Amino acid sequence: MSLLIAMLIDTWRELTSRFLFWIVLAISAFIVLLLTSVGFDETGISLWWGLSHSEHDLLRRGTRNLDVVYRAFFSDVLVGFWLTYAATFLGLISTASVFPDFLSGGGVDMLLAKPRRRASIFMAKFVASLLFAAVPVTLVCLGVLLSMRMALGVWEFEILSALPYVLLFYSSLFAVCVLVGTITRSALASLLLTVVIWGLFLAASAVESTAGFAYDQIQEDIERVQNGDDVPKNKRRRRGPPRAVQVEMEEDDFDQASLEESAFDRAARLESLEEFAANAALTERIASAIRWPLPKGVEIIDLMRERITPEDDPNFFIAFGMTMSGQPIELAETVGSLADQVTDNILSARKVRRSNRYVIGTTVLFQAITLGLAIGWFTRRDY
Amino acid sequence: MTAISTQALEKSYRGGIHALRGVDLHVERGEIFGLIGPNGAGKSTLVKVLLTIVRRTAGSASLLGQPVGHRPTLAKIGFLPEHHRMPRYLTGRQAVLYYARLLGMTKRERERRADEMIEIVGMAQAAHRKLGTYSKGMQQRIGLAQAFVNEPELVVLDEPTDGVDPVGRVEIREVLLRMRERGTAIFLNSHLLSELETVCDRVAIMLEGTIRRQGTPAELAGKTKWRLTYQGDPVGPHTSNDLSFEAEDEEAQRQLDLARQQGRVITHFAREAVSLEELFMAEVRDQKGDQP
Repeated sequence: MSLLIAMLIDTWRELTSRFLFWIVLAISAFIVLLLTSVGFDETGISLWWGLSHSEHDLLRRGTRNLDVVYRAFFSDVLVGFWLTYAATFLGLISTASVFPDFLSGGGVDMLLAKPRRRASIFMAKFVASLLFAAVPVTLVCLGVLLSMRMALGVWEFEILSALPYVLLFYSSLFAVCVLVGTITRSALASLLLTVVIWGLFLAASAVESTAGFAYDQIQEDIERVQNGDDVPKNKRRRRGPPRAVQVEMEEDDFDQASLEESAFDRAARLESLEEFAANAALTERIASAIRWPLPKGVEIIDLMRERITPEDDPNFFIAFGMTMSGQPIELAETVGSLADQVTDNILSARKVRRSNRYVIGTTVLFQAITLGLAIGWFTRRDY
Repeated sequence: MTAISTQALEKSYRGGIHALRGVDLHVERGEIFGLIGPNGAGKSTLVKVLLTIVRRTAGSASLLGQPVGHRPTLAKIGFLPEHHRMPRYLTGRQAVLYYARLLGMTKRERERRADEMIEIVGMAQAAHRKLGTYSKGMQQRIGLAQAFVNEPELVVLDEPTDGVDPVGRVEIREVLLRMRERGTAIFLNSHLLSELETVCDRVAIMLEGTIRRQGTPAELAGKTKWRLTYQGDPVGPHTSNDLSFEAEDEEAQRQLDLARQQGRVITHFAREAVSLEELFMAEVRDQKGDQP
């Protein structure tokens, strides 16, 4: 324990000596400050701690729009974008040199000569390095918790659940950075390779979800073709009334040649669609197999979002757009989930296949293997 | 009980580099032991093997009576590597406290010892400045403070006066002597032979991964060296009237008598100590086969 405390204190001092850490912290603090400057009452919204006030039908205390916009802003913008992507990237830039510096000649010698196990030293340094992500995330979560209390009048402790999700996401990337840094002892190489691998994770995820979405769409098309709902309007007009009525009509009312042509087209189209569907299914299976051992960054953030915002709530941009144009959120809910309709349908379609245990389990497993390799390398190497 | 003992210690790196080729070495408790050798002789590798930074290929070694790698023993050892790099974002005092914490010292103990050691190495005034602002000599002093912070029974110092000015060297030498008085064994790697000569009780000469000679400087010197100077031309077998030669006492007396018998006025006749540098250079010449 004293080793971990020593490493935590040391790493905290190291982080606070880095300019980028303060940049990330300052931006996070600024966002929180802006959030707390916005207040709501029964009539509308106040800005700059009450300096300016304007009445609004939907952005006022007690409305569903305000609740949804607030939560979605936190989960989609603050955590979903700023902390997950932008701050993570800045975090990786800032911490890429932590392990190469730690392993530099003359530095590591002094640590290894101490009565500590190498694996313990390594793990303590890794855990301590997660402070870079933990500090801004905690700051944002606490800030949002406080501002929600001020704005909505509720203590929404679910907000704090973002912390482990963002840390899991960050640590899986940082583990890659640490592995590369341990082997190459180069900050530049570890940063570049981590970013490339991050890109590959995202690409694999995009391929899988796009292939899955395409497969679903093609299946719908196949169904439509099989039901005859795909015939263009001009041809349908020539064919006459709908199918149910057709059987009751005289045979000479049909344009026999046109029907044959249509049947032929349909069969060809069906064959082509089935081929597409098979390719899409194969692509999805391959991408899925490739992704199995990889961290599930997109899904982790999705899990975090589910904890904070109800599944049927629209995302921030839709909710904000609806609110600004004076539409109550309930309108979206009566039509169906706008999130599903507009932006998230690809992921939502796949979501049912990924259990929380699978997403978290495979991500933790990836991290454990990556760190295991790094520790194995570190403990066996001469310095 | 010995502080350091190695038997047939070997270390080979990939690519067939044999850094250590059967090192046999014994360092007693409470003595200052100096290891000298040219660059690439294997001095730093030996230190790293002893402190588990590098794994040995063959042979055995023990520190304070325990086999190398025994963790509780490492808590009784102080270490300052060559070209050490302590975190630049720490102040001098923070650095000493950080390494003290890694040694498992209690808060009270490490604060007391850190302040004491910082005072001893003369860094009290600058203890709250960041290491990044220190000169090489100042960093070296803080390095020494952390090496002695745990009141070690054995301290291993690799080039401890590297980058330190002459005044600082004298001060460091005094620190080492003071620590020896407390019973600490000090293992010193240095290429500054004159420095080792002044503080070391025993020395070893290492060449190409093996210990060529070890013992007290007097033991290593073997025959006594003499200097004889007189006025006038050289007499008998003398090639000069200013002679420097190795000989037993009787033989030196005979040379003096020879000059006197010829009526020469003796201006200087004295026993001279063989410097460590001369011993070392003789070994290097031996190794190269250049010995006349």
